[in-house]
Amino acid sequence: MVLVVDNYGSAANITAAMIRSLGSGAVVLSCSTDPRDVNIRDYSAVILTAGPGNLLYDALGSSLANQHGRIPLLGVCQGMEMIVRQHGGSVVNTGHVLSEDTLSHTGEGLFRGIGQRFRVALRRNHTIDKKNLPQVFETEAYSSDGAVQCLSIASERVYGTGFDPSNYRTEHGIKIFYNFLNLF
Amino acid sequence: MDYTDIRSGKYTRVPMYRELRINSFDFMSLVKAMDLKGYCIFLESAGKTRDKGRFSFLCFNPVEIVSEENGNVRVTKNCNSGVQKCSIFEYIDAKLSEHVSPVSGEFGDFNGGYAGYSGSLSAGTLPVDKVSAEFLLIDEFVVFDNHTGKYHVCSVVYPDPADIESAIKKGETRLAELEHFILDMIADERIHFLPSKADDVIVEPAVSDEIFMQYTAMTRDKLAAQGIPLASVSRELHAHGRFSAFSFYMKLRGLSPSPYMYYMHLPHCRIAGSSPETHLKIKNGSMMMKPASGFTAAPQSRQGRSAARRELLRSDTDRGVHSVLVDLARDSLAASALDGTVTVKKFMDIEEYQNRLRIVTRINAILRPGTGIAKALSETLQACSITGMVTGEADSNEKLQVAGRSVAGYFGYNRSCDICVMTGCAVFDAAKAVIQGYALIHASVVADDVLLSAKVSAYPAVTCLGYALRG
Repeated sequence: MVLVVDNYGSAANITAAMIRSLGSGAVVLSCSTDPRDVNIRDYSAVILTAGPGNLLYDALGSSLANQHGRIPLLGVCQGMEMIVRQHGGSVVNTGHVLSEDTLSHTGEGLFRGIGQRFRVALRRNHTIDKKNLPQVFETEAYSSDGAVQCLSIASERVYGTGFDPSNYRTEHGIKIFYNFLNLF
Repeated sequence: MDYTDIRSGKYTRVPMYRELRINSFDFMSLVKAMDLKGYCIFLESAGKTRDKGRFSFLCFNPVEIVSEENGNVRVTKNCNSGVQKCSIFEYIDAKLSEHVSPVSGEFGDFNGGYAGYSGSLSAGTLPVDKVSAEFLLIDEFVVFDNHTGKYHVCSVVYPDPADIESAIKKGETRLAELEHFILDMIADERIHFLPSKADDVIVEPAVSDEIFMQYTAMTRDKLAAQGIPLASVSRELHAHGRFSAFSFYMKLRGLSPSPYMYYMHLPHCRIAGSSPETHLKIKNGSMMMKPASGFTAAPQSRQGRSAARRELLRSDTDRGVHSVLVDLARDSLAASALDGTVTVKKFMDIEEYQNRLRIVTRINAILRPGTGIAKALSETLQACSITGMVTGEADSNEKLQVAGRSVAGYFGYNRSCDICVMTGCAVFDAAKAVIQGYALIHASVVADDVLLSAKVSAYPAVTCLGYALRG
C-alpha cells in the first residue's frame, strides 16, 4: 500500500489513481493529518505530492520527508523541497511561472527506459539551491536552464522530482511511477 | 404515453408525461406565475445545437427543501423542519439511493430530483450567505424540448409492484389536474415582450475600479508568495431600489442567452444568472468536466477569427490558467472515478460563445461504482479545487474578495446530473440585489497581463448583469 500525501495541490487523487492502475494499493491522506495518527509500517512507499509552497499545512509531509531509509520515498515538487530541507539543503524563490521544458537525465532510476529530452510541466515558484545542496544527494535530471529537476539518495531509497509526473503535460508519468515502485 | 417503464416492475420511481399545448409566450407566463405562487426553479438552455441546451425545465411544487447551514442540513417537508448532521451532498446521495428510476432521455436527462445551487453567493454581503447550499426536491415539472418545440408536464409516481395499474391511474389523474392548473395559471398571468420602462434602480460597484485592481494585485502577490497556482476573485455590484427578479431574468435572457440559464425562487432568496460553463455532467456513470478560461472577442470574418484563435492560444496567461484548470479537473474527477479512466479530450480546444472565443478542454471519467453523484460533485468543490478555492490567508481575507465559484444545476433520481459554474449571477433578497461576476487569476511574472485578465474576465459578467438590472 502506497501512502500518497495530499499537499493541497492538484495531484494527490490522480497520483493515487495512477499508482493503483499499476497494481499497487494507494491511499490519500491530507498533509494536515496528525503524524501521530500515521503508522509508517502500514505502507510500502510514500509519495509527497505537489502543492502550494507556503508549507503552512505540512505537518505530515515534513515528518515523512526524512525516513532514514526506512521506506521508499518520492517527493514531487513541494515534496522534493521538503526532502531537501529536511536534509539541510535549501530552495530559492524564482517567482511563479507555469511552463513546459525538456529534461536531460541519467537514464537510470526513475528514468530507466525513458529517452532523453522528454517534455515535463513545471511550476517553478521554487527551485533547489544548487550551491547549498547537501552532498548526500545525487542529481538525476536537469531542465534546460540547468535547474535540478530530479535528485536521489539511493542508500536511503529517496527520490525527488521538480516536475509532476501526474501532470497532464508531463510525458512518461506512469512509467516514472512504475520505475519508482520497482526500484527497491 | 407508453407505460413500459412502470409495468416492467423494475422501477420504484417513474416520471409520467403529458403534452401541453402551449407556446413560448405561455411558457414564460407560466414561469412568472409559478414564481408568484411559490418556490420554483427554472433551468433554461438557450443553446441551439444538439450538443448543448436541448431541454429546459420548470420545476415547481417542491416536495422537500434542503439547505446547508454551518455544515448541517436543514430539511423542510410538509411544514415540518429538522436538522441532520451531515453534508448536503451526503443527504442527497442517501435520498437518491432510496429509489430506482429509468433513464429515458426522451424528455431530457432530468426526470425529477434535487435542483438548486451550492456555494457562496455574495461574499457575505447578504444574509443568504449563511446558507451554503439550497436544493428543492422536485416531483413535478414542465420540460421544453428545443428540437421538437414541444412542452410536457411531468408528475412522478411511486408504483407498488403489487398494484401498478393503480399507480398509472393515479399518475394520469394528477397529470390532468396539472394540465388544468397550468392552463388556468397562464390565462391569469400574461407577460409582455414589448420594451418595458427601466426599473428605478441604483446600481453601484461594491468597490471602485482602482480598489478592485489593487485587491487583484494583492491577491496575485499572495498567490505567488504562497505558491498557490489559481484563485477566483469576484467583482460585485450592489443594487438598491424597486426591481423585480423575474423582470431582471427576462432582460438577461435577451442580453446574454447562454447554454445554462437559471432562475431560482428559493426560501432564502431569488437567484438569476447565465453561464456558458459546464462544471460537471454525469450520465449513465460517465462523468465530464469542461473547464473554460480566457476569452477574446470573435471577429466577424473567418480570417479574423482564425487569427484571434491563434492569439488566444499563444497567451501565456490564458494557457497557464487553463493548464492548471485541466489538472485540477483531472484530480477532482480522479477522487470519484474508476482508476485509469480519467482521460483528456481535445486539450485546449477553442469554442465560440456569444461572439467570444474561449479555451476549453473536455475531461472524462467513469464514476466508481457505489459512489454517489452528489459525492462526485462535492469532490470538485474541495479546497484548492477547480472552483478556485484556495487555502491559507488568501481564503480568509474578505477584503481580497477571494471566493470559490458557486455551482447550480440538478441531481436526478436516474443518477444524472448537470451542474454549471455560476460565472455571474444576481442574488435578490427583499431589500436589495447583489450582482457578482467571477474571474480566475493566477500568479505569474507577467503581472500586468494577469491583472488585465482578471479585470476583463470579471467585467463582462457584472456589466451585463448590471445592465439587465437597470433595464
